[in-house]
Amino acid sequence: MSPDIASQISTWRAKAAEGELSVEDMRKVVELIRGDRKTAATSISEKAKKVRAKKEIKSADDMLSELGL
Amino acid sequence: MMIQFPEVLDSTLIGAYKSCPRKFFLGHVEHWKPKSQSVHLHAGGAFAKGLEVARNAFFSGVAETPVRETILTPEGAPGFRLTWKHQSCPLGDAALSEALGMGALLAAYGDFQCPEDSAKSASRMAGALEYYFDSYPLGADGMEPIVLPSGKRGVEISFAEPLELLHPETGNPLLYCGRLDMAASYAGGVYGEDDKTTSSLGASWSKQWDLRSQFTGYCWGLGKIGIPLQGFVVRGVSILKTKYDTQMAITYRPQWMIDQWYEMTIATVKDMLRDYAAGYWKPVFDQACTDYGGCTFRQPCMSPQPDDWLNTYFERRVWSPLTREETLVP
Repeated sequence: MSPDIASQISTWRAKAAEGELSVEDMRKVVELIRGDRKTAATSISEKAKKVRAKKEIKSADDMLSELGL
Repeated sequence: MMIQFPEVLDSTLIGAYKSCPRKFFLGHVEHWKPKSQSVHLHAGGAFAKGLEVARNAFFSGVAETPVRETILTPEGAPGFRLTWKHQSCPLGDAALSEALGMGALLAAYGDFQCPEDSAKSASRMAGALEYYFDSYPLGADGMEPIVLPSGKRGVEISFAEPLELLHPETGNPLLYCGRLDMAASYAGGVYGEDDKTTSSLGASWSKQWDLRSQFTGYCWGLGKIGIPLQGFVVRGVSILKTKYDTQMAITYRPQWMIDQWYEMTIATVKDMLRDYAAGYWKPVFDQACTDYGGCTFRQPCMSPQPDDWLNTYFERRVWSPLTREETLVP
């Protein structure tokens, strides 16, 4: 969870403890947390793809030159 | 100090006695509780409140929102406490129900200070609730709370049924009570449902529930009130600093297993009554002292003067399994 969202949740938590958290605030908490989690999951997945792609692409010319051909 | 055998027993009390009779005596006869609350209990309670509120909103159209109420403290000074206001809301609105559940979780977590080394902070618990509803969407996870004879949905069901043994002082039948997260129709049967928050979900997580007395006792209790359960669906959510995970286990409780549980429970309660009459509560001094991060009473047991520890780091709070409230003993 990003520090910004964790900090925002602290503010909402204080409001909740005061009995002042509105239903709109509650909806925002869910939306923000869900958005943050999905973005983090996509970002991890894209990083993994990039790493895989680097490993997979090999230049045929380089390979041949390594063999002295 | 006045001590009395409890009138109402549950799986926690009986489990405490089975693990160590002295632990049961200190915690549930003398009612010693640590002054500092366990993060696991507090965070788990807030998570459970969030689930309860969301399910009641979705399936019963009851919105429970936190409000601050002005009270007078025992010392006569003005103070505040959190109470819950009930209003009607649209049935079957998943987004609204999740939002109400989230508000309830944050309010129930309150200003509790999470230890630095724990992953169960308010924001991580809020994340866990969002993850739970993403994994098990309300109304679309195959579980629908049953309608009870009272017309209410089977969310947070309580029971208190008499055992065949009497209280040593009052002569009343001892009661066995429990409270389930949910009784729901699932895969063509009726199952209890229980949600567990944990630090990790290992390969053996799902195997630990097959003989768990907590669930067999719930099946016995619900059978007594005319709601026979096939077994339990247990959902675990692991809360780590960097990620969440979940597992679901299904565990069955045929009648022969419930009968054996009852026989074992009666035998255990007879042992408890014997110890109470004798005034001797055997300390186990073994594995139970270190299980689950260490017994609450480890330090008093390691001291030749346990009362010094108890009077300094503990206070006496009486927990009522029926009202689910704690009362501080002055």
